[in-house]
Amino acid sequence: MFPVCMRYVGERSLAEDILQDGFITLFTKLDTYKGDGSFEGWARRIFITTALMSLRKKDALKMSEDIEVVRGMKTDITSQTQNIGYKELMKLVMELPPGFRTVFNMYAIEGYSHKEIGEMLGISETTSRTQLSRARIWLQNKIKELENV
Amino acid sequence: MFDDNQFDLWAKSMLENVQEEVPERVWKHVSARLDKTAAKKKAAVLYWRRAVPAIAAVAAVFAAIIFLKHDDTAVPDPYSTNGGLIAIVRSEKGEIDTGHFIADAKEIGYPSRNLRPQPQVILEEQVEKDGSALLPVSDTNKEGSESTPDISDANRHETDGLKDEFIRFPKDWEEDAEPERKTIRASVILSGSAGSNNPKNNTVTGPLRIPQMSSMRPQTGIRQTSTESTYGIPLSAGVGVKINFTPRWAIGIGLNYTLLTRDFYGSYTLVGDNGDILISQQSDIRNSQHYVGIPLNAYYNIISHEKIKFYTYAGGAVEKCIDNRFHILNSSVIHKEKATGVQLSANIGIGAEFIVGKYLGIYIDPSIRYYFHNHQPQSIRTVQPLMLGFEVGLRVNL
Repeated sequence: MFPVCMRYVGERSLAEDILQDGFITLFTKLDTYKGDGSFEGWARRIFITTALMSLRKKDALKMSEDIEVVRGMKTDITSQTQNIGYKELMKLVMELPPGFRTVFNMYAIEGYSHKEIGEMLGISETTSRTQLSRARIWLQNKIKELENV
Repeated sequence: MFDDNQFDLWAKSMLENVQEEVPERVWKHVSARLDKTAAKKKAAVLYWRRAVPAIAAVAAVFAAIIFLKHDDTAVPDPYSTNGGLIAIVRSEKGEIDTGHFIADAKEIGYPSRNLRPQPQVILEEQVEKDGSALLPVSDTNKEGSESTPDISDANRHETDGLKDEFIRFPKDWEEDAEPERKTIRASVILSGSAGSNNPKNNTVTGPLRIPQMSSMRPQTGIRQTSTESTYGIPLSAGVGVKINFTPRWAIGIGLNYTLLTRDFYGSYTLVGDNGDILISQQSDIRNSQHYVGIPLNAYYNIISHEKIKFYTYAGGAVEKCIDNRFHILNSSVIHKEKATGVQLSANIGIGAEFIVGKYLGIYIDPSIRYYFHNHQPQSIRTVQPLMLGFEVGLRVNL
């Protein structure tokens, strides 16, 4: 669950705090697990929620509005992703602007729909799609830059 | 060329099951916080395991004292509304000639009384709120991406199969920094109350009536010779608990003490065993009555906010006069008389509580109380059964 926290908050030290809070919540709410679905999935959701709560408190959940971040970037990534390890990709995801990072994690990694993301984050589905699209562009270009280095 | 869905799938495959070493300090902190949480819960449980039986035992003892000693055949208090004012006339030979019935208390007319509010004990029970925005169950008909149909729709949420309604964006998680949740919060109340005497009616006035003279044996006791009585403000203090059975309804029970005072001019007579009058003096007299009672109320929460709460309550109380004494102000003599029976009352009121901290609240409870006619010593309650009252208290949440 530590990588989950890291992906959402973008900082290792903050991720450690989230991990602590998440485990406290998990152990204290253990009696609420009814056996529906896997325990790992249930636990993962606790940590995701804890991470999002932390971001909300820090006012870091507002969506990234600066389109300059992705201006000029192209989405013509090819097979370069095959040469990127998980550590590099994790680092790139952690470097994503907060809004892009949150939506990308929730959609691409966790599998939430835009409707669900919108309800959880208090944004519209359109905003969720926009953030996701820009996150992809940002990541793909960063991957490309890594390959060209 | 990767399309968006393929990119997402690739990223998911790379990041979904990443392993990362967790620093040892994280586990130490988790363990320490869990131990602290467990210690708090244990302390709270231990406290209430001791406090509730103790309070219940004390309440039971008082209830036993009150009800077991209730004597239905007791002689009515001479100072009740059915009594009268009697003057003892001593002849030169030291014998009692007559007893003059000076006035009928009923005829005099008593001042209006103000209600003595009953100390309320509020135990607030915080029920875990479920004010979260539940996510709907994920549907497989989610929208696809803008460029191409999302081929991964069918695979979403298959990794865990858990219904989405578990995960919440709970408001209470935001507000509560500590992950542990108290489903029941106990509060101990220290309260005080006072009824406000109507200044226009705090004296007994009216015409005197001279009854027929009759022979009476002298008795030790106090006799009011004035037509006026001044009633002091009833003062009460108490402690108690309140238990919330639902977010709206609660029951409160406690113990309270009340002091009633009355000043009048009268005579004190002390009669010896052989019937001789040993002391007979006229003086200002102060009657102090000390009551101990058990209030019982039902509460209904009307509005509950993080900073203020409004509620209404109704109930009753049973009280026993444990001390009824007359202080002869011209001397150091204190004459005690036994009060028999119990005082029953019923009340209704509204209350407001102001939350001043995580564990502290201040409440105010105006109320109306009616004291039933139970042959109790004359007091502000007997002359005016319906009283208005005002109570304030401090609540400490445990």
